[in-house]
Amino acid sequence: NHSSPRSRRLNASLFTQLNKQIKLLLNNNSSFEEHIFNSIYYVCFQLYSTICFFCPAGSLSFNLDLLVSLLRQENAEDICVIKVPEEIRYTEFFIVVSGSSTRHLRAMAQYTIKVYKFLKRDSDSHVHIEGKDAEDWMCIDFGSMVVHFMLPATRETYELEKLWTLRSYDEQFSSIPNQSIPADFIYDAETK
Amino acid sequence: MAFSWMLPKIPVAAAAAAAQCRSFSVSAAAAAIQKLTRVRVVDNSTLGNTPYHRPPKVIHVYNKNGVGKVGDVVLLAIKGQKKKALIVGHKMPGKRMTARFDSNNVVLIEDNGNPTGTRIKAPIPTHLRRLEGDYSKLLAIAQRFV
Repeated sequence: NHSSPRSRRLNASLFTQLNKQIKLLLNNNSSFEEHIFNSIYYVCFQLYSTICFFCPAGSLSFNLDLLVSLLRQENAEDICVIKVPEEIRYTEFFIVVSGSSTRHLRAMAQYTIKVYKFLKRDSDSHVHIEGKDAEDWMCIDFGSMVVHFMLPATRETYELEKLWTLRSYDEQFSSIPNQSIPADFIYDAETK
Repeated sequence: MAFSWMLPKIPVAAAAAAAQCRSFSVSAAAAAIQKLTRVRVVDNSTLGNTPYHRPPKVIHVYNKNGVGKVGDVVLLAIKGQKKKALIVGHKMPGKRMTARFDSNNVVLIEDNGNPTGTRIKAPIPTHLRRLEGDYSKLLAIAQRFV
């Protein structure tokens, strides 16, 4: 059990030792690849040990609070969480987030996926980043939440918050002219 | 505007009259989308909505077999240009409990997967979400789900 007092003390001592070692390594003039490897290892270990310290196994679930605190930790700008009504059977929460650059968006998305993979139970499905090769818009669809990472310019063009709060009263939607179908349009297909 | 290529050729009154006094039954073609099918662009992009004398036609389906169903990317020839698009509904009946549409609907897409238009007025099938592929962006700009 991770949270017994003895294991906690062991973890703490291990953590401080490893911390010191890694800090030394980082400060040395190591090569670029070593530096990256050490920093990734450091981050992973930090994450793992934080979770092991602060929760007994299985009580931390990937819910909205965790996701928003994660995004805040990643310096995401303009986090907008919209509660989607039950009638629109798409998702429960629609989150739009801005980033300062493509690299920032990609890093945020990948970190979110990493935390989700760590915290998901075996019954939860896997999640992938959509729009990985787009520069300005990436999405992740966790079943009850959908997160969109966009650059501020893209956010202005699409105005997703307006659409999802105003639904039919949205300006861009109502400015679409009504389309007329020609009078002799054949509607149904008599399927055998 | 969709169907702008159909309207000027037949005067509207004559067409309506012709439709009502037909002495034969008419059945619609109910095939999925393949090369040279005429499609209807349902988003609010300028490329899809400016009238042109020729309808947008599919020139390639990005699929193992050349038949496009809902969720497949196709290459369209619109206004003399090539543009990728995603199929969001077709006239062919699909699986049970999925919507069948009266027109072959398509949404224009850029090469990186971002939609060209900003809103989609036509209903979008919700089973797109369960398919393998990047459909969250389309679902985010859709107005109605079916």
